[in-house]
Amino acid sequence: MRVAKPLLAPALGLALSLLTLEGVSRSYFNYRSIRDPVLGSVVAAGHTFRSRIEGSGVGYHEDHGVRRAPDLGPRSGARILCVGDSYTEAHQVSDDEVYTTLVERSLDRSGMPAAVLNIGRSGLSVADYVVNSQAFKEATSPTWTVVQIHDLDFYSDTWQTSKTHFRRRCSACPIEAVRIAPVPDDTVRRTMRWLRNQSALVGFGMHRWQELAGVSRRNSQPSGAEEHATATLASTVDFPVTEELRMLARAYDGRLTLLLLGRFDPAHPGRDTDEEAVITRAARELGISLACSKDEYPALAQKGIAPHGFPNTSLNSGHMNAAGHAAAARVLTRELLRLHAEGRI
Amino acid sequence: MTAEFPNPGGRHGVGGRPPVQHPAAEPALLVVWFLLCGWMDVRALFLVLLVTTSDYLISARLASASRTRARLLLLSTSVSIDIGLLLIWRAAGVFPGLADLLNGAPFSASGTVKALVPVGLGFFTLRSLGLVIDVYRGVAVPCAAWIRYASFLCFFPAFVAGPISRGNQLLPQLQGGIGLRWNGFVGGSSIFVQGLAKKMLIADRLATIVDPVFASPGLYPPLTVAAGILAYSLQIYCDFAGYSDMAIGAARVLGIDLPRNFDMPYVATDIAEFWHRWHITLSTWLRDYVFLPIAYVGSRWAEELGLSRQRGELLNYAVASVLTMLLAGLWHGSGWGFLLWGGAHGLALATHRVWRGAGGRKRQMPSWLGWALTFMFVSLSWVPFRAASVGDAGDIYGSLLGLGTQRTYEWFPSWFPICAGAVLLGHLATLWITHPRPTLMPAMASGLMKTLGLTVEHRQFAGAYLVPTRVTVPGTYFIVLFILSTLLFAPSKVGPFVYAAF
Repeated sequence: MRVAKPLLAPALGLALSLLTLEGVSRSYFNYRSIRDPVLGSVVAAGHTFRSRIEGSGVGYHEDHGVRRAPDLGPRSGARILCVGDSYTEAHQVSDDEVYTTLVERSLDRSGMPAAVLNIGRSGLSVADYVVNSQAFKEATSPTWTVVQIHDLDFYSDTWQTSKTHFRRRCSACPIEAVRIAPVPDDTVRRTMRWLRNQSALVGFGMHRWQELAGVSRRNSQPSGAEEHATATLASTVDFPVTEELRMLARAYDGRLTLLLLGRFDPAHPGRDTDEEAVITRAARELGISLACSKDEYPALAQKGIAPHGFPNTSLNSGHMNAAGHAAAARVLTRELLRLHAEGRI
Repeated sequence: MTAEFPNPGGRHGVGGRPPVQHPAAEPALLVVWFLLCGWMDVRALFLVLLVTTSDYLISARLASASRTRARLLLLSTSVSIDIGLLLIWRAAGVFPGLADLLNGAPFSASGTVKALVPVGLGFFTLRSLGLVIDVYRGVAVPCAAWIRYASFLCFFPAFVAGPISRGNQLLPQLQGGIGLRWNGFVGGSSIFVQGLAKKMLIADRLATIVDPVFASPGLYPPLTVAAGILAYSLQIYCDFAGYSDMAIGAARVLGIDLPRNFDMPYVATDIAEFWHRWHITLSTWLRDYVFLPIAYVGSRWAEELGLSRQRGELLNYAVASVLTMLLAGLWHGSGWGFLLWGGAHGLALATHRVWRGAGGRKRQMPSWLGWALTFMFVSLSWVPFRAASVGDAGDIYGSLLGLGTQRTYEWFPSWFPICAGAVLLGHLATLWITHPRPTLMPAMASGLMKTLGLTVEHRQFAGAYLVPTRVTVPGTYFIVLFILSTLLFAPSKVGPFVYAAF
C-alpha cells in the first residue's frame, strides 16, 4: 500500500487521458478488421471505416471487405466489380461521395440497374490485379470489372520487387506476375488485430507508428536511390505497357474497363501526360474499354475546383476529393452505358 | 544588456538533492558534440574549431594588450574572421560558383549543394564575436582555457539556432559545472515538451498551408493567400520559439539557464515593442554591438554638422535603425528578400520614432489600432523573407489583392483557424497567468494551477514557463494528453527548423 499510494494519482491521470484519447480516436480514425481467407486483412462485414486524417470519410463494408453504401440494397442486374488502390478504397470521402456509389446510382437512373462492388485496397498494383483476379472473381462473381489505374501504374509502380510485381526472366520471355506472399497470420498479428479491434486508440497508434516508420524509411534512403533504381529498370525492361495491358485483360477474360485517373495540372487541365497518352493508345489498339477522368478536368478547372486535395491537407495533393470522385463517376458511367448499349454488359 | 544575470544555484536546491555532477562532464559533452557536429556537417566542425581557436587566442591577447592600436588590430582581426566567414557563405547564395567551391572537398559532408550554410554558422559567430568585443570593451574577462571557450561556443542545445547567449551569461554557469539535477530535469523536460508541441503540433501543421500558397500563389483566391501569409507569421513564431524552448529546456536539464528568446511578440502594439519581444537575443546583440556604435558615431557627425539636438537625434536613430536592420536582413541570408525585409523593418522603426516624436513629446494611438497595424506590417513583411525570390513576393502581394493572372481554385485550409486559435489561446493563457498585476479572477488562476500541480516559473532572464511541482491526477491527465496528442496528431512529415538555415 505504501508503494501503491504515490502511484495512484499518476495512474488515474494516465487512465483518464487514455480514455479521453480513446473517445477522440473513435471519431478520428477507427475500423474493425478481420482476416479474410481470400483477400487477407479487410474491414469486417457490417462495420464502417472512419477516417479524418485526410478529408473526412465513413465507409460501410460488406463481405470480403467490399465497400458499398448500406442504403443501396440488392440489385438484380449486372454485378460490376471495381478493383483499384487507395483511390478506389477512398477512405477520404464518405459512401455517398465515392465514385462507385455515384456510378451505381447514375446507372440505376439511366435504366441499367447494377450492383457496383468496390474492392479497392491501399497499395495494390496492376500485378496484384492480375495475380488476384481469380480470388476477386470468386469472392464477388462479377459480370464486368472496372480496373482503376494511374498514369505510372504500368511503369515503375508495378515493377517494384518489394511487392507483387511484373518481371521478365529473359529478353525473349513473356512478362509474368510474381506474387509476394502475404505475411502469415501468426499469434502476434492475431493479438495485435484483437487489440486494435478493441481500442480505436491502439488502432490509431499503430497506424501512426507505421506512418512515421514509413517516413523515416523514406528519409533514410540515400538521395536519388529511387530514381537510380527506376532508371536501371527503365533501361532493362523498358516498361512493356501493351503486354502488361494484354495480361490484365486476359486475367478478367476481356470483360473489363480501365478507369484512368488522370493527373491534374492546374495550368493545363485537359493535357495528357506522356504515360497517359501511351496507355490510352495501347488500350485502343487492344480494344480495351477505357474511361479517363481527365475528360472532365477542363470543366472542373473552369469552376475553380481541383479534383485532389482537402481542406485539411493541400490543394491538388493526395487522394481524390468529392469533386474528383464525381468526375470519375461521370466518365465511368458514360463508358458503362455505352458498353451496355452495345450489349457487352 | 537588459537581461538579469541568472542564479544557477538558486533553483536547484529544492528538496536538498545534490546535482549529479562530474568534472569530466564538460569535456565529455564537448567531445560528443564535436563528433555529432562532424557527422551532421563536417564544415561546421571545421569552422567552429577555426573560430574557437582564433577568437580564444585573440581575446587572451586583448586582455593583456595595452596599446590602443594593437587592441584595435586584434579586434579587427576577429571581426574580419567572424564576419568574413558569414559574408563568404552569404555571398555563396548569390554566386553559384562560390557555392560549388565551398561545398566541395574537403569541407563537404555530402557533396551536395543543398546544405549550403554550415549548421549554426550565423549563431556561433555572433556568440564568439560578442565575447571578443566585450573583452575589448573591458566588460568581460577572457576564458582561461580553450576547452571552456569551446564549450561556450558549442553548448549544444543552443548551437543550431540559439538563443545567442552572451559570455557573461553562460561562462559563469559553465564554470559552476554541468550536471543533472532532479528539479532541473523535471522543469527542463516540461519546457522541452512545450517547445516540441509548438513545433510539431502547430508549426509543422501550418507548413502544410504555407508551402503550397508560397509555391503557387496565383492558384489561390485572396482569402486563401491571406491565410497563407498569416499562417507563415504563426509558423515562423511557433517553429523558432519552439526550438528556443527546446534549447532552454535541454539546457536546464543540465543545470544551465539560457536567456529567453521570445516574449509573446504578436501582442506588441508598436514595431519597437515587437523587436523587444521577437528574437530577443539577436535584437539585443544587434542593439549593443551594431546600433549603439553606429548611433554613437552618428551623434558625433550630427554635432559636427550643427544639427539641432532633436533633429540630430531623430536622424541618427533613423539611419542607425535602417543600417542595423539591413545588417539583420543580411545575417538571415543573401537574397534581396532578406534585405527588403530588413530595410522595411528599419524604416518602420525609424517612422515609428519620428511619429512618436523625439524628446518629451510622446504621441499615442489606441492600443488595439497599434496592435493591428503592427501585426499587419510584421505579417506582410514576412512575405519577401519567405518567398523564393522578390518576384515571387510580388506575385503573392498581387494575389492578395486579387491581381493574379491565373485561374484560381477554391481551397481554404481548415487547420488554419484551429492553429491560429491555439496560438491565441496560448497567448491569452500566458497573459492571464503571468500578469504581474492582480488580474481578473486571480484566485481562480492560482486554484487551477494548484489543482493541476503546476506553477509558473517566471524569471526575467529565462522567461515564463509552466513547470510541474507535484504529481496530481489533473496534472498527469493534461501532461499525458498533451504528449500523446503531439505524437498522434502532428503531421507525419516533420520539417526542418526554419532558423537552422541561418
